[in-house]
Amino acid sequence: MYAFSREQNVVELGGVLFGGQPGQNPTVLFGTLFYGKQWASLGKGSLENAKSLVEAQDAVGDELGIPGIVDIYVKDEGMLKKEIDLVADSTEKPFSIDISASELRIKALQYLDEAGLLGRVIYNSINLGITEDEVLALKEHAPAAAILLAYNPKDTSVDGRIEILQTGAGMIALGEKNMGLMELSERVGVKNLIIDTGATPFGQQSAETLRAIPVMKNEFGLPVGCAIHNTLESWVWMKKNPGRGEIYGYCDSAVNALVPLMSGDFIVYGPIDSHEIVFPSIAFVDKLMAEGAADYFGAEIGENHPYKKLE
Amino acid sequence: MIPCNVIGSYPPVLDKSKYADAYLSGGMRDPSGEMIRNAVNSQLEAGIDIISDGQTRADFISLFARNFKGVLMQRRPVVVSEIEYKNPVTVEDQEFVRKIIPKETMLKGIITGPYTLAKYSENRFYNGTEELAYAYAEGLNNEARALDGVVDFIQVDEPEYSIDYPEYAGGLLDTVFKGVSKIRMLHSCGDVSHVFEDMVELNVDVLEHEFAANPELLNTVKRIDFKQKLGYGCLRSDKDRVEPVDEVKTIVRRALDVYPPGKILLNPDCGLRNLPPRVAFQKLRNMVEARNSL
Repeated sequence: MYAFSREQNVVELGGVLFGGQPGQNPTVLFGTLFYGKQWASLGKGSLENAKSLVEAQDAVGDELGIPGIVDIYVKDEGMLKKEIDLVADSTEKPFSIDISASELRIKALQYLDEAGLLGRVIYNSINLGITEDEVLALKEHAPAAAILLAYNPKDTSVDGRIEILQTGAGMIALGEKNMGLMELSERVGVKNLIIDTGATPFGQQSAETLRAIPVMKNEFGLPVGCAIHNTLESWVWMKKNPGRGEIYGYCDSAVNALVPLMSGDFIVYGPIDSHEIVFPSIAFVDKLMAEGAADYFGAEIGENHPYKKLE
Repeated sequence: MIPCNVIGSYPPVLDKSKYADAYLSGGMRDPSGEMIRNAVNSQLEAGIDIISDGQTRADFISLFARNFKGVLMQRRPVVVSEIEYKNPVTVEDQEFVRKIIPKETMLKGIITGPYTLAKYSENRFYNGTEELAYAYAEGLNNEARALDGVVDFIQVDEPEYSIDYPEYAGGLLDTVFKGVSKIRMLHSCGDVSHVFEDMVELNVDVLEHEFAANPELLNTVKRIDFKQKLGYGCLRSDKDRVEPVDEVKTIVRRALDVYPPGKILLNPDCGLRNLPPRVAFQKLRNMVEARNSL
């Protein structure tokens, strides 16, 4: 079990706490919504299904004392407003926007500002694909928090992942000046920063995804987590296994539980549909970690934590 | 004409937006092929005669250390049990390079030297540095033999020699090169003036050293007879400043005042990995232009 001598900054957003010493606060779970072919068109049925998934995640989170965040995946500009509106109306919690293309991230920021929702938004993510236009958009429409994605395709070691945060590894510049994601985010004025270690598949130093968590917490004192589910998703054996459905669920539950064990503060755990299998395993680990932190370090644990909330 | 050579490493260059998009869309890609291709194309475009794969995959220590059984790759390699060579480390990359370069282009394989690996390692198993270095050398011999059928030159990098030259250096190199038929190179950067007299006794064909950062080294080297060719470092690899062609020519002329053109190869002082890509390219380009105009 880890404890850090460096002070750990806790980010508070809409009543959800990210970070702190291991065991202190529950792990925050991001469930991704609208990822995959089934969301290709958003008819009435799909929207009702999406709403029920958001509510179900909130319900299981409230029951177990594990905060759930909806991670809104947007692929198509035509869906942008509809997706954001649905989530914003279905939950009172903060939510994240998860968008691959920089141009679409800019449009999302503009809309979120227009809709008065920036104060609830976790921007997922500021990453090596950031453009000058996106920097300007972030300055103009600053989200409440942002995830910095420490994926460095040049070097997937822990050092390489830290390099993208600190120096940009020669791939990130503002004007003529090279800089890391950390400095860039501070310059655009995003106040609350959260670090995603950038999960990599087997063969690309996948274990460094988890090893980076305590190293980065110690280095930066910020909340750190990852989407280790992506490593599972890319596992060739699993893809080829004919009985994948059921087995996959067991693995997903176990794989996500590795993150709090490694002192992680949040997990992007995969499709929100998996909330039923992921939340209980995380509640178990969180309760275990909190008991350790309380017994060993005398940590004071909040009433709503699974440690106190669950028998 | 004097061949233009590189020491090996080159700045890794990627189309970052392609990798960011792929990553965020759930299709993580292995960037190694693109980084190697970019390094190779830059060297070819600069006019280099003896190119490398660019060593873009990782730094020169972890690249080899993590491929040995018995070595844990932590902040530095930690040797915890008997060292055993697992799989070829660079052969697949060199085969890839061979496929994408013109037939007449010469290719260099690069191996991090056993003494340097031993000195960078935390040794928890062997009785002293010498025993550990020989264990690495035996393992690296597998890599050298595997490269022998793919490349035209095999270079061993021993930067540690300029700091701490072991009396068993010859034995280590003979172990690494055992059974190898290709041209043998030894690169050692830093100031080797105090050990150059010993190094000329080594069983290698080319000695590559830094003369741009250490111009005084030539005064030592020229007083000593040696059978090997001299890899003459004529570009700083530790400075972002691009040396103008005339400056490179001046540096090269110093060597040509002492040696016939057939005795030397031109190269940067060391690997260029830590330079901005455009700087690395322009330095190589100026070296070739300087050579062409001499």
